[in-house]
Amino acid sequence: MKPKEFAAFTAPAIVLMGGLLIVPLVTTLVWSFQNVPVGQPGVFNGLDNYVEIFSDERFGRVAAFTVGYTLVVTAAKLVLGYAIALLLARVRRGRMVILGLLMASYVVPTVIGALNFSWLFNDVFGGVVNQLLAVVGVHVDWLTETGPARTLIGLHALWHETPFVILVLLAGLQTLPEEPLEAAQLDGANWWQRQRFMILPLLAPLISFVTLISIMDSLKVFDSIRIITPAASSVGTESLMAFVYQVALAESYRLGVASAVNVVTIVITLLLLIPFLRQTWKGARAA
Amino acid sequence: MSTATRTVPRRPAPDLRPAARERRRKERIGGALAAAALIVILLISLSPFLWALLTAIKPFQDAFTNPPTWIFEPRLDAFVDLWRGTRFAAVLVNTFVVAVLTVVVALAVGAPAAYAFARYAGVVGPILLVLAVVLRTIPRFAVVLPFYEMSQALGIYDTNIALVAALVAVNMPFTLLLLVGFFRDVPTELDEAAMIDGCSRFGAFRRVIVPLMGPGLVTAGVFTLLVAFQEYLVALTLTQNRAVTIPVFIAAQKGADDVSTYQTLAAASIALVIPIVFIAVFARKYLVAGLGGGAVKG
Repeated sequence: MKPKEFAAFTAPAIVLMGGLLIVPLVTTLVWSFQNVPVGQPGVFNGLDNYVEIFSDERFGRVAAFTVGYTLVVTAAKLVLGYAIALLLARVRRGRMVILGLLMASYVVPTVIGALNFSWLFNDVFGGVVNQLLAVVGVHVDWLTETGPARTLIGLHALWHETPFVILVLLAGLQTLPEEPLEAAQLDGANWWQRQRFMILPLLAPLISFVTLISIMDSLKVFDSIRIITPAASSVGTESLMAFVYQVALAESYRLGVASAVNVVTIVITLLLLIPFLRQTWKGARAA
Repeated sequence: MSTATRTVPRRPAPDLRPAARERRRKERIGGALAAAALIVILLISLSPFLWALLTAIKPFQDAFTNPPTWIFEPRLDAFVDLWRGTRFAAVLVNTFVVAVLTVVVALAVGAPAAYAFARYAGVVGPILLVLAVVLRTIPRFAVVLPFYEMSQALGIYDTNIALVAALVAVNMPFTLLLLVGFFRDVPTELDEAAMIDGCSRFGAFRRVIVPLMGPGLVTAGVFTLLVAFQEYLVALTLTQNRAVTIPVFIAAQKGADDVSTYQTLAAASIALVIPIVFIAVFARKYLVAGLGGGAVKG
């Protein structure tokens, strides 16, 4: 393809992404160094916004919760997703139907899924989970106490996002070469050894892919927190993005401070992304 | 379930057939146990929707008892209320308009660009692709807060135009990544053959490549449609009343925190979950291709 043709084919997308993605992103960067009341032009105030958020205890709690949430949810999702993918790989008949139905919690809008999921933990709606826990004599205030509410947000993430991990890892399991695995089995390699030394290394690229997607998405968690714990700040389940929303559009209208939080989030995400970017670059060069 | 397989030592059997039969028998048992475990997992996974369904069809006095009422006379009042007493129908139509417009614009702009990225040998393609990955990871608020200000200034706040523009922009990196993967699978010889036969580059793209790309375009389309339909954060920030979409509507109803509206909320959930799950089961092939494509080639 000639350079001129390349330019012509890509022009609309580049103009669109330039105008509607790059310009807003640069605006966010500029705003992070400004005091910006909604509807008015910003006034530069140096690093004030960054100083403010880094000395704000609430931001510290929010950042710590978000990072902890990201690590726990990502690890749990990988283990659970891999286990279920292994189960699915063993089933012959009905595999695709089960997979399709398992995807339900992933494809339903997060707002609706989070709402329905939280009802199982809500005593107004019959408190199904608490009814089950009553068997062992426990009653948990899932929606108002910090520990249980954080657990609930994490459980929702597992319920909502594990199907994606299952889908990707199952696709990987189905493309594994069968012969070396059978040979290893005949040579006496047990189940653990085959997982540890053959299957997991072969799936490594897919595992790193779902890990990175999960890290990126978890750092930006917002929808489920708004729905399950609307008073996230007092319950202790406020995430970075829920904090941005409160600062920019709800509690106050300080776009500059909110933008500084966005910039910090971008920096954290990019740091975590470096290995993946390197891989994409190599893939694109090789193709 | 493979415990048995693991612990039985593999003896050098003189006749291989019984051993093979034994292994097949164990595989069948393992498969049955796996299926049983999966059915339990599936029930847990679907239980929030089943509970919402029960809540929607119970009579009001039975819906919010604790412990729950199990024997009741099902009724559809909540669905009637939802349709007649709320803006659900209008919001649903608007959400479809927004989602379909988003798909059309995203594919019209994204497909030619993705084709060029897949074909151009230079270094620009990879750079843009990496940029697309980076952009995909940016928090949406970093794009949408400036969008909010811009749309206020331009007087298009709370319109479908602003919402579609934002949705296309925010999802464009992903659309591109997905489509580039599919275009790479179409052999270059086809473009060359078409151009030798007298097509221009654009003619080859339009007459030969796009028709071949049917499944890829459908996959990207289904994805973009789902994403546009699901999007909460962008719609929450850019709409207030006229351009509100389903997730914003549902969240607002929920925010009212009034027990008398909970059943309509449950009815709304079910009215949306059922068609979406049907689409997911029937368009599964495309979903898997899309997610897998993104996974392997992303």
